[in-house]
Amino acid sequence: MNLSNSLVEMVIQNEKPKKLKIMIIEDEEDILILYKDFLSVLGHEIVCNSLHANNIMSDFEKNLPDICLMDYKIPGHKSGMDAAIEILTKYPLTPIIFITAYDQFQKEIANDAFFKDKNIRVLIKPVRLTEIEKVIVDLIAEKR
Amino acid sequence: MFLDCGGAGNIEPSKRIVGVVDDDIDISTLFHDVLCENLHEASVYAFNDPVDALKHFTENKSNYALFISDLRMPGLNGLELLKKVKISKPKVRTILMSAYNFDEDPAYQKYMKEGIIDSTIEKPVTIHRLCQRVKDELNAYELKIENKT
Repeated sequence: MNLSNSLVEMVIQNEKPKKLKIMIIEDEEDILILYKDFLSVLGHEIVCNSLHANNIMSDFEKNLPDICLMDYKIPGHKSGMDAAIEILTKYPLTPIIFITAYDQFQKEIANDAFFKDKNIRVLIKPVRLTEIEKVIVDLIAEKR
Repeated sequence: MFLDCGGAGNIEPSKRIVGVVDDDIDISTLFHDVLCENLHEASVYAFNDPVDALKHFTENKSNYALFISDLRMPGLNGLELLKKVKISKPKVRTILMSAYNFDEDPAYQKYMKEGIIDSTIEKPVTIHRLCQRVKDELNAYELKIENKT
């Protein structure tokens, strides 16, 4: 297995992999740290990481990330979905990757008019690191 | 068996195996991916059921160099699992991991003293620390094998 296939493809296509500013919201600290480390090793900058989304807009506006990685089910008074809606209402082009163990979530998002035409992807847990990397590359490419 | 990067179950006779078991499937998946990417000298097998992990260990004992287990798991806890592993193959290296501070746990102290646990990892763990600990234990295994101690 090679985690960097997608990045290698970008290099082959003469596209320099861009260093991205990434925001991660994940309530399991073990997982948060592994995502953060993995994406940092790939050369990205983790501008914000949090175990909850309570301060989502101030965190977002302070750091203006290129992409958000968001657990759907997080403790506190805002779910991942609430946080995404807040971000997308003000910054509709923001790419967001939802991570969830709830496999019906993809359908719910697809049927929700608010998320139509938004740069959204849903990854179902357990998530492979290769998937995260690939989806980031895809979403950023679509944003261009 | 849950995940492997050792070639779809075909284990080369000389290839070292690192087994990792955590009942949290998200964690075992991520540890598997991280170790597969960073350990080229060994095959990594990940399990979220300690009984499956023990079965795989028993069937492939000669290849196992390192066994990593979470502490708290339903069915068979990490301490009991590592005890079975170590009794079955005393030279295999073992790492116990947990978010729970087990330093004061009498069973943990006893197992450390008896050499059932060689090392520990406190969660949450960074990729660098995880890989370094695993590499250290693999080196310790090779030294044990070379010295035939």
